[in-house]
Amino acid sequence: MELKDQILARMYVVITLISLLPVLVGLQLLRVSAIDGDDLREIVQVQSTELRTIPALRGEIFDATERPLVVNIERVDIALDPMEKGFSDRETEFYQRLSKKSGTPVSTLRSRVRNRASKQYIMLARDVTMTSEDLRWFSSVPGVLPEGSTTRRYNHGSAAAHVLGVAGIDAGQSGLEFEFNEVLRGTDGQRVMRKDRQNRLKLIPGSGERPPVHGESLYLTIDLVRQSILEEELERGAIEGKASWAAAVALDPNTGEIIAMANWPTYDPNRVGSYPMAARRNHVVEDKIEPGSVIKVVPAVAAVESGAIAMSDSIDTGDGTLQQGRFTIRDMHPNGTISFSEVIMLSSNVGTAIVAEDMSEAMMYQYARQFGFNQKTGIELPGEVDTRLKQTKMWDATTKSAMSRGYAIEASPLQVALAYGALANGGLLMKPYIVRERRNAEGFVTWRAQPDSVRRVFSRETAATLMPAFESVVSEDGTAPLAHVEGLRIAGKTGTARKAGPKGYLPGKYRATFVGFWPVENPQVVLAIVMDEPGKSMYGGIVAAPVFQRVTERWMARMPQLAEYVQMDGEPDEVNEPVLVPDAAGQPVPIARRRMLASGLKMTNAKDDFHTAVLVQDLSAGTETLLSVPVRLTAEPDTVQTMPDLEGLSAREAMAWLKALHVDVVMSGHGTVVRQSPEPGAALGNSARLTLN
Amino acid sequence: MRRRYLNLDLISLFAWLSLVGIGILAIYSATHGPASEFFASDPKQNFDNQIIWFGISVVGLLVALMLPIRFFQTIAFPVYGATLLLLVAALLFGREINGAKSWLHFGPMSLQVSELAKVGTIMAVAQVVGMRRPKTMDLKFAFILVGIILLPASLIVLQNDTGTALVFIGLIPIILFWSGLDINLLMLMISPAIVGYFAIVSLPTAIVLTVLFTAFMWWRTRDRRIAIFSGVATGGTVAMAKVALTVVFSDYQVQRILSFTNPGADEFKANVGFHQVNSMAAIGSGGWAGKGFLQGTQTQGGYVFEQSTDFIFSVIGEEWGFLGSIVILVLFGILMIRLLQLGANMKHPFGVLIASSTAGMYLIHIFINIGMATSLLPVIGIPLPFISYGGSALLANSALLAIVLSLHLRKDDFSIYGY
Repeated sequence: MELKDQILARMYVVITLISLLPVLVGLQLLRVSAIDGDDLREIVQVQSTELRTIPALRGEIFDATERPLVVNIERVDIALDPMEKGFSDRETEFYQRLSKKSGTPVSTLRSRVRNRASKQYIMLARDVTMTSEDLRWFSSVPGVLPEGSTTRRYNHGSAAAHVLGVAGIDAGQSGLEFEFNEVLRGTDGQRVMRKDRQNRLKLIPGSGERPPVHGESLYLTIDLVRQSILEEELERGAIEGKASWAAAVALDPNTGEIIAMANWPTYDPNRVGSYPMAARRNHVVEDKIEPGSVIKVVPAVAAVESGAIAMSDSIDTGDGTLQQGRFTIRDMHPNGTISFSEVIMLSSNVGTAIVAEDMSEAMMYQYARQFGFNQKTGIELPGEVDTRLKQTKMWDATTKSAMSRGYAIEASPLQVALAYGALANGGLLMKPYIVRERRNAEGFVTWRAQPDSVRRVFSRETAATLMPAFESVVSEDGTAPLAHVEGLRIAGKTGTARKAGPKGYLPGKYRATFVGFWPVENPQVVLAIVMDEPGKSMYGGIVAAPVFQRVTERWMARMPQLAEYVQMDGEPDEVNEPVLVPDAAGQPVPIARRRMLASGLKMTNAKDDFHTAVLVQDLSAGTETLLSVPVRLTAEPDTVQTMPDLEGLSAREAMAWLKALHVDVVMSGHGTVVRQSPEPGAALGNSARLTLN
Repeated sequence: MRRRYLNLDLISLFAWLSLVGIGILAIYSATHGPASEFFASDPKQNFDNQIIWFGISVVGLLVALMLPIRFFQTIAFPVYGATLLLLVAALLFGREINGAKSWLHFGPMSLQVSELAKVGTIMAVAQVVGMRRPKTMDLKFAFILVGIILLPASLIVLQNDTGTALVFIGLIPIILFWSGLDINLLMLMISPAIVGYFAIVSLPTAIVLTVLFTAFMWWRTRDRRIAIFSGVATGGTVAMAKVALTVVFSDYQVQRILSFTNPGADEFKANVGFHQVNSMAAIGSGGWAGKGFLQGTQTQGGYVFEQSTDFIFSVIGEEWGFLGSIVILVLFGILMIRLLQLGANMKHPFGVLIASSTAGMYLIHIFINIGMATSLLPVIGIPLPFISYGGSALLANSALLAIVLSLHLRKDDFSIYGY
């Protein structure tokens, strides 16, 4: 073989060999890419990417005038990738906002970013508290990665607590928070992030992240101010009336809008754990109770609508008792022969029973059903009670009669309010609602409530015919003179019902109700008040009507549209009413201040210092003064330290001062101070005993 | 003069430029992408340094193209001697980097002398074979050649750079074969290595191969002694490998050796297999077209070990995918085949040997490096020619190419020496 050929021959061998190894390597490459590819990609996926949810912001809740009732407080960690495209455009504003929120100067933030260890990631601020709105803004800045947790804040504490409810970590537990949980919650988004070997995260530029759909906010029909007034007065009334619980609901009879809804006892949703479950019950919608005499609107409407009776027809109620089967029906007082109007005005049980006698069972059932006592109202609150009327075939001989007086029928306070709403608006049963509109995170209205009637229960004429009778209830002669408000025409009805226990009616236990509306000329507000087991009196006209009255008085001032319906002779009394100046001399300043406030007076020139006592008051005790004139007090350090007169002060007011002076206080009872030891004026010892009523 | 330019091999020049270009891009990705935050300033300089070394290589190549054949032949032994001296110097004064004492520092420049030794060794071998003129291969001559190779190799082993030494060992069969060693003897030489490899990967395959090799030797030579020797050598290797793995080596060493066979196994993946798992994961997850420049999650997440040097291939595999990897293999293939063709064209043992040894050396590097990155082989720290960061390696590899190109440019001058 020639050398040249030999070289060529070797050449080919070597070329074969040389191409063999790359082919081997190529095959291995192919194996790694194609066969093991999936497993290997999995390894990469697991170790280098992380799915992060971008939490949707829970919607907030506002009152009718868009005051925030429920807001989110976000505690956020803010990380930043300053290299992200678009960040530099909003850099200045970002630093300013973050500085404001975190309290870190802009220059410090900037230098942190400048001196960051990683090129693409820095944890800029931790645990910054901000609102959802702020969080939304920060999320919108490219490169900014906010992460944190949301807590719900109920801005006004217990205000409308039963309506708003409580939300846990991400789910509503009660009230609107529960009912609208899906709407409020929104849908979380997701972001794929890159994780490096040191577990640091960074954004993937251009990775299609799924943005969160933030929850919608609720705008309620509830008015915070009127709600607060109702709550205050309900509480006051419940305490005065010694009720075990009380509930009230106000609505607009023309639309079905709930204006306010209150329960006592109440709770603070911010600290829900520290209240008993009973305090969280919304009796307005969750309780079905036998309404008692307030139901008399049903037989009245039925009788008038059917033409069975006219308002002026006389009815002989005799001596105020009527024997029906096993039962004896009693009136409060014997009324003798009275008109049908007076039957309503006086709430005569005997009269109502006689009227009901002329009605068929079917008619009674039909009207009760028409008034909505056989169905849920559809209010957007959880746990609404399902009331059912007994079918007529299940009725016994006394059912119809009992029903006409508000027994053998059950209704929630809301249903009662709606029934009177029908009387107020001329015969329409309205569908109640509490959410006026919903708005998305961008502020666009996504849903708006439309007032809707359920049905026409009776004719406008019937309503007009009955109106004077129900108006007369709130008169000197009626059962609810205490609901009367000077200058305003009010119609309503009292109710008193024996409270049923598991085994029949509980002796001495009642529920007192008052439901009314005003102004009669053009009803704007229906307000129903229910007191459970009132200790002061069993009558709605005595325990519930005053609450109605005070609420009405205070609401009127806030409703300028009522002006044309209010007939006042001269100026309102209140302003000119003279007040007796209490004696504050020698009293510790805080106690003196409370005494003055209790009398409706203001005081000046004295600091609320626990160790000062009043020396001189410019208006001496017992003089009459006007509310608007402040009392000028001069105080000096209290060296004598005698026991002040604490009578009539609340326990808390009395305690504050004694506690500040390190006096141990032993209390018995609840409410206001009726007796004290040591006596007023005696030297202050180490302990004091207060007796409250 | 004009005629000489026609002999300038543009194809291999193109392959060389493409590979270095790809290498520089890959180094940029590995050191200047998002991954750069993992590094101190050192590796970031790799990119700049590589460009400087590329510049030096280009100048060197242009200079080499101007030099006559005689020059290379003349300096072959001095260069060999000089590199030996440098190796000794590195052993004495060198600085240790990654456990290997193979670096010499001259001011700002640091040289990995073991890389330069490849040039000297190949030139010396070529010169020896070239001086000898065509004669049949005898054993004594073969021993001289092996000695020339083993001398620097053993110095490098002393420097604790076994990977590079392995390249020298790998050169032995290539050079011997090229200088005329009998193919049977060559088979006999390399068969224990192949069988040894499979003894680790798959014992049954190793045993089958032992039998096949022995049968093959018998078929080729019909010489009982050679067949028996072959059987003993290959079988002995298998037995030795087994004994070594079970008795001689410590558990840790065994793990390191075995881990490449399945680096993802539970007992390896967190420690000895970690680098290979992540390298494979990078390559495998790149898919067909890769994740894109600077987009590799493995590379940029800092999961790949030594990603600008020994594991640069996984950067390419991840960011440029299977296609990118194949492009590199094809470019290497073109370069090597072209080098062999150039060698064959020169028709002189000096040229043939330099060209083929160069191609062979590239091949060993490529095979070991990519084999390591794809866990075909255990982790052996040698660079991928032209692509991995490393100035000395780039310079040495380019110098060998430059010599081949220069010789080929003047291939007609070889006729002066006649054949």
